[in-house]
Amino acid sequence: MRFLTYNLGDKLFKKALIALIMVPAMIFSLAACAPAEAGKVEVTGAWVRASEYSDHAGGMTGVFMQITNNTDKTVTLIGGTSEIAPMVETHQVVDGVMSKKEGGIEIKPGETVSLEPGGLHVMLMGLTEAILVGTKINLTLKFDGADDIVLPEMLAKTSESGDEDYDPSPMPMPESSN
Amino acid sequence: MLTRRQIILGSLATAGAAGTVLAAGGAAVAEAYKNGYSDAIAANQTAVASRKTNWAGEHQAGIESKAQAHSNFLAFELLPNVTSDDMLRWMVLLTDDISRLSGGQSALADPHPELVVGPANLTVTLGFGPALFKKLSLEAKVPVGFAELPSFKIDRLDEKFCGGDVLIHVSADDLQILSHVTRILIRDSSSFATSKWIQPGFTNAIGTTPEGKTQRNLMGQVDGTDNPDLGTEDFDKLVWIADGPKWAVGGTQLVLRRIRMNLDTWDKLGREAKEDVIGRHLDTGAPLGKTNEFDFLDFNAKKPNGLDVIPAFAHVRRASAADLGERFFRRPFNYQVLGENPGELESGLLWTAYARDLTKQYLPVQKRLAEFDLLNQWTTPVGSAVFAIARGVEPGQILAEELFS
Repeated sequence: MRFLTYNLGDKLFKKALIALIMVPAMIFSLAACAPAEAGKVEVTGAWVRASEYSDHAGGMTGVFMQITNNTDKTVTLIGGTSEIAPMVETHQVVDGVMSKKEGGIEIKPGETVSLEPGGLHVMLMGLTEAILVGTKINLTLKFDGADDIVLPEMLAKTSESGDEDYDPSPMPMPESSN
Repeated sequence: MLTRRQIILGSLATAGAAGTVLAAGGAAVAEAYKNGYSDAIAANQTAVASRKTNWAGEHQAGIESKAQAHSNFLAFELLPNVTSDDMLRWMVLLTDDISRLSGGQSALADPHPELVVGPANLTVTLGFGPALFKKLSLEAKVPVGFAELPSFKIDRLDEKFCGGDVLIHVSADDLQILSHVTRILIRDSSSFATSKWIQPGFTNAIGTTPEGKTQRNLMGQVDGTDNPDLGTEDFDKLVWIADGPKWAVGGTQLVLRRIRMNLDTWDKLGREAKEDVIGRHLDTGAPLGKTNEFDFLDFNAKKPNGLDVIPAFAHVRRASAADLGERFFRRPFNYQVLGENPGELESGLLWTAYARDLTKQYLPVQKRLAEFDLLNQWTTPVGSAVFAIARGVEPGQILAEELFS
């Protein structure tokens, strides 16, 4: 009971008691308008990479994001559609080599999967127009087991991290150190 | 550090969540109180990180607010062949970064998002130098009164602290958060411009001086006593541009002067001599002969021997507005860097003036000070730049969009 004696004036204490009785009612009404996130697949932090591979028609690039599965069953990101890319595929980078991720990207119930440079990503191929730094594009993600998710006005940014080997020529081997 | 109000609010939240207090007995209240107390302590431990300054609105953030503990002024030079269309894409990126970072979220594509532990009162302010308007043939959109400063005879300007096409002024109450955000903003600008200069500055941290207390510069003087009060009509009229090109209405004009202080020789002056140079008492900041910082500056007051109480050469006399239009808002940051030789420190001030019309409000004062101000013996302007600051925008809009479209 030590904390009750903590410098609490009588008047203040009465105010606290009154408020204690009021608060549950307020909480209740707040809960009624809280966003219903449960039961949905949620995408946050989506961006598209602008690079020398995307700055011309015919080019390609990667899209990155975090996908959270709030449903009670596994969902799979299988691809998507975009007005500026006829081919939208799920890809992976394994041991520095990029390849198509056959079967899509699985997200288990309650799990968040990060699509990030150097790892899983969505590839846009055969771009019909250039994607430059600061360009905004629209992309619709297709899932197996969940509704489509539209990502409007997704921003294009540069990124050096996890630089993927898009170059058809082999990566230079490190020189032996002196 | 906890106020009783915080403790009680903390306990209320916990009690409410438990939802068991409709017929609260003493034990329940006590339990709620205990939990609330520990919640409040936890919140207090991250209080600096969680403080937020609204980035959106009529004016950009980072001007009409208390100076944060740390600040970086970043100037950029456009890459060759950058067009207004490119500028617009740069503004899209920066606006997105600013809206996220000001809310304590990491920027998109941040390789180290874990470093953003909160906004810590982050503000980012965008402005444009006179050279940019020429390069992009935007002379028709220059706000009235905005122009390069003339050179003053007191200037010893170093080109590496002068000019710049674009200013990103970023401040926060935590240096680690500021450092990371600075890198992110420079990185996101690299497709459009190169970094020309970076000038870091600082003031007291949160929790070191009472709210509303005028800050001190590194010469020990209170600095900014004559400022218009934040949130007043006086401030609005002095600072915010009211008409002209749309992108600038609600914006302002900034002068940034890097003032090197010669503290070694200043230290040698006696206290009375220092007070005469400034025209104010060092301890209270009161005008000489007065007791309170905000007492009226009486330039006619005489000593018994007939001499002026505030000498003719005193800084406050020279800096004082000749008419009410010659006023502006100052929001300075101190700086301290390594000197040219090992073991040397250089101290100074990143002096700022914000005015809706620099030519009318600031230039007359600066001319008077350059001409005759005893303080000039201990201070040297070594850097100088002016920027027109864009108006603020609402979420969904793009900063400076009307300038580049």
